[in-house]
Amino acid sequence: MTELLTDQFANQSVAIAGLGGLGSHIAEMLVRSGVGKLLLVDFDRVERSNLNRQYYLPAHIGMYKTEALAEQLLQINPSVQLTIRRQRITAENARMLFAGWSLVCEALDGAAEKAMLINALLLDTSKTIVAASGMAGYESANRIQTTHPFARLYLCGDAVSDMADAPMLAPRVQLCAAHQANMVLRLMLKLQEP
Amino acid sequence: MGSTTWGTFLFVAFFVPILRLREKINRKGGWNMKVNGVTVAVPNSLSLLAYLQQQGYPLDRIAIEYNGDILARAAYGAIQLQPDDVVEIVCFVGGG
Repeated sequence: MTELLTDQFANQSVAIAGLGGLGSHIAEMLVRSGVGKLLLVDFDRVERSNLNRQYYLPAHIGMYKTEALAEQLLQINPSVQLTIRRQRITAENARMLFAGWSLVCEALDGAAEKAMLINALLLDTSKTIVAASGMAGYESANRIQTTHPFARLYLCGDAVSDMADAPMLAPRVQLCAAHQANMVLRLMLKLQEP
Repeated sequence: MGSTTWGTFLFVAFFVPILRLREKINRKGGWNMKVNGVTVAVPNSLSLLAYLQQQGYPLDRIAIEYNGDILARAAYGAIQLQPDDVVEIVCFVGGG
């Protein structure tokens, strides 16, 4: 059964926008699940302050997140196909950066950047986005959920816990990333319910 | 046709549409629409942009699906709210 599922995802592809606490873990879980092809987009470098919740190690400090994560993912599955774009995502370049990728995980950190990406990409009717909003702090883990607000938008998180008001901690961030990764696998299996 | 049949026909043809229209018109003479699944009253001739501003939505942090279609931000001001509009508004908070 495990091998069968792995085979099932080998021809699947997904783009990850942002490789912080959400994106690095979404990528890790999807590569472990056997997803064959990923696009990784981030402009930033790994900092010490990222290590409390992001899928990086002290040895990665100073490296670009795209390269550090690619190194980790290739250790999990040496045959995974990775496309890397080391760029800051803007309203102007978003459609070009994700052209040809129909399933996109929004894993950016700023609220305005999240909204910008959803607005820029969803106008393209071939795209479906699995986004996240509300995973800061240590409120009940049970409040993190997957919702389906628009036809082509899934949203994970508690919708209210802002990083401006509470610290970003590993458990809720990874929980939210797991919601996103699970929704991605569900969509790959043609399951549309959140 | 008997009088019962005629009565049913008249009721369906004339009164049901009137009753349904009355449901759409609120007490202040505006329209009712659905926002995030909740029926809300809006005055006549209000643009979507004006509604969002009135409700205090942070315009740079939202995305909107209007009657099933994602709406470009530049279009918010040109949309005049209509009865039975279905509006889904997602408002993001930071963290990733």
